[in-house]
Amino acid sequence: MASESFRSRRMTRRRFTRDLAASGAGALLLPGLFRGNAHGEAKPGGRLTVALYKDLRTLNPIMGIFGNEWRSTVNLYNNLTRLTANGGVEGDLAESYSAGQASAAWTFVLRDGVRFHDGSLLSAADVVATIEKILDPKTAAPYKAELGPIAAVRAVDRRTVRIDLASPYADLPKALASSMARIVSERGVADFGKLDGTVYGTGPFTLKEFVPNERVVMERNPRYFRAGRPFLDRLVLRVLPDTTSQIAALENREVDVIGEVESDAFKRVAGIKGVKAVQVTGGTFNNIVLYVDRPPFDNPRVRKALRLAMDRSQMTDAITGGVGTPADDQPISPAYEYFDKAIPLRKADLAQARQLLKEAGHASGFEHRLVVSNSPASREKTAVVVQAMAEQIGIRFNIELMDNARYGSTIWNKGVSSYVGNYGTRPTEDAILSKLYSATYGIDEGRWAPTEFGKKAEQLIVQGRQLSDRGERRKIYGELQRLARDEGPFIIPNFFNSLYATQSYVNDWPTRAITTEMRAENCWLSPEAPGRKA
Amino acid sequence: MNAAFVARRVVYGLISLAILSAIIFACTHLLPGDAAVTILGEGASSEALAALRARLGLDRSFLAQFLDWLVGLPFGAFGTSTTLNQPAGPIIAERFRNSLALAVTTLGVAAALAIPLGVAAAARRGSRLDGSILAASYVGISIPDFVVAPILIIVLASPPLSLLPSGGFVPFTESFGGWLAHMVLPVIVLTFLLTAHLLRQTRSGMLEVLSCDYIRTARLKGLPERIVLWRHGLRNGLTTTIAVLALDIGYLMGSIVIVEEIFAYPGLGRLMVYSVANRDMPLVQGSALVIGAVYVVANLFADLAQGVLNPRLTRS
Repeated sequence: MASESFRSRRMTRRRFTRDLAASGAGALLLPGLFRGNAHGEAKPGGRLTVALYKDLRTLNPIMGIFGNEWRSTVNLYNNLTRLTANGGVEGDLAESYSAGQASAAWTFVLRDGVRFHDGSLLSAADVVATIEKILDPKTAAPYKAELGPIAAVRAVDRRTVRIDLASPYADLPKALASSMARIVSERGVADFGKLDGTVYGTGPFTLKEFVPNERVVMERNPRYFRAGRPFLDRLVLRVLPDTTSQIAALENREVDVIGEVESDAFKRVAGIKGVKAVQVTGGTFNNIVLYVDRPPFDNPRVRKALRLAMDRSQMTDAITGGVGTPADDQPISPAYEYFDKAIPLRKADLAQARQLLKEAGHASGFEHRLVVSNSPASREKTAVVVQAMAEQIGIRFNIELMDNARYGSTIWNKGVSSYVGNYGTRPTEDAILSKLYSATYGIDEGRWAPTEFGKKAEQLIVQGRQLSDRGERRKIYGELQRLARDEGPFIIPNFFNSLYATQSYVNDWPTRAITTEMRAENCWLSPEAPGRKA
Repeated sequence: MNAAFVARRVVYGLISLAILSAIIFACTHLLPGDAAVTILGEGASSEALAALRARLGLDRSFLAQFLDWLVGLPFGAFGTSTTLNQPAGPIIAERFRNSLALAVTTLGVAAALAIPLGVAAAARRGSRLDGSILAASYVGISIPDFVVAPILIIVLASPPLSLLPSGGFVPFTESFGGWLAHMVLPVIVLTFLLTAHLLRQTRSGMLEVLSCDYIRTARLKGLPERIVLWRHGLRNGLTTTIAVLALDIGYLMGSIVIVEEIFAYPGLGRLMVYSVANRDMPLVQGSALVIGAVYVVANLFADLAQGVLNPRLTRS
């Protein structure tokens, strides 16, 4: 019955999604799914199991690159700051923080009396050790650049940390909330090699057992600094790589939550009785990288023609199975604070596209190589759908599927072929914009740095990260979104929504645009939950 | 059985393993991409990659890496997993135990089903019983595991029946019941495939033997059919079945990737897929060597068992 009502409301829901997204509201719930969820007073106790797919290799927060690793460490550690449900930022281990003149130096005051799992007291030295370890080039921290332009970090006293920046950076508090910047104790930093399987954190749960790529078993941290939290006695993360067995496990109540539902499976999951299926507008996307320093995409007309061949709503449905948000070749989704909703979604115009190709001297179209990595599977879908759209105007993409490791070392950003990239939702606009469009802070994936577009984008990014006035930042980021949309080197057909499924007896599960923010400290179980009986 | 026969087989086995280890090491180095890329992911700067390569020793020469690996092998040291940052030996050992449990259980069940059915089919060749056993085994061979497994999950592990867990693994030491419950579905799927295979092997082996002169002599002597079949026939008829069993145990120890993936069973096959995809060479090399060793040992045992069943084979 649930699946019946789901289908009949499909169109309505989609319009609903778009309207809500356009109005800037992030979270939306499928209709009719609140039934049976007796919201009441939170009761401590019980055991909750989360099913995850994909790899979970390490618990070292500094070296993790996979969502499942961050989903684990967010429950074992704390950061200096953390993101709020609506994308803002607040203190976590930091009681307060403030910027000096022009955001070039920041001071963080730590909470008093916070203890690590081993009983030792948190102090400024731990924070300094962690940040210095991330910045040390020998560590090779994969996300080091996203921490911002930190020049020096030092302990002013036991509870005060001062961070000096090389250039003003208004987003530092948000950057410090990112998954890599969990605060590890000084002892943990010294035992860096052990961090893969041992936890030196302050988080709401302590580590009971970790088997790489199988499971993480966590227990309530009785010393946690937020009184009364967490509610759960035990939190178990289980890797179940197959969708069928994941869904069966949810139906059997072997698992209470699916931490990240694959878009193909979302409708099936939403149809299960007693399951709440939730989708939140996300910012994850796949981008087709077009090199602008060589033919054929050096010609702006050819790029524009390709953009005009894309029917974005249709593509979004095909690629995400109806649970995505159309995108317009720029990376800022409605999940971000500074998303510019005034920019209209581009409509496909095949006649104009063909005309542009003709003017560019490609009247009969051309062939072009497009390499696709096999992981995540959505990349292949994106490539196939883009191929179908481009074929209408005579651009024939030859898709070449490739093993992910080989792709990573021979194709990705190597300047040899167009390919399908993949980016997750970031805590700030700056993090994703500078990665994609700044030659200084990013990686120049489309070889656009010397072009007019590159120079303009770089200038706007530098301006944007220094501003602390929100109105001014909104203007700058709006301008960047327009620029990327019309002149940028990427095709971005859609954003993937963040999809969750929980049993109806699971309350206050964190459903965020950034799926890895799976902080379960506020989650609690209703009395009928099986995890309360065992 | 003479000692020279056994010794010869053991020496052949060791030589195969030595050659295998060199081939594995060389092959893994031909794979494009390295662990540094997969550890740091897309977006890693070239400085970070270089720093990590140096830390992992990936920048050393092929020969230096190979010698390093070779020296550790006799002590059971397979190096350190590059992506998990733990000694590869214990990781492989744990997966090996899990795969072995699955393989032995499956083979036991499959043999217990296939051998009697195969003998029965051969004994009544052309009968309705033979026809239906054959037809069933065709079905078993032709339905792939990736079809059988989800069907079983939907029927047995989903509501309304929900008899069994849909996937995962509980260590034997933690709870025997839990361990058993998680074994049932993978074992059924694998038995489904193997039984058909073994059954057909047993049937054809038996048919060949039953047409031999000595069986006719036995029958003419007036021996009961039961004795003719099970004592005189089966002994010779099983020789090929045993060789097939030996290959099957190798297959079960690492080639059953799909079944392990669907049921989230932590065996060698899944470890292999993970380590190849992540270019975790110590894990790839270690598990490939272990799987190779299983083939060698299983074939050694098969040779020896055939020698016992048919002593003529040990004289050369």
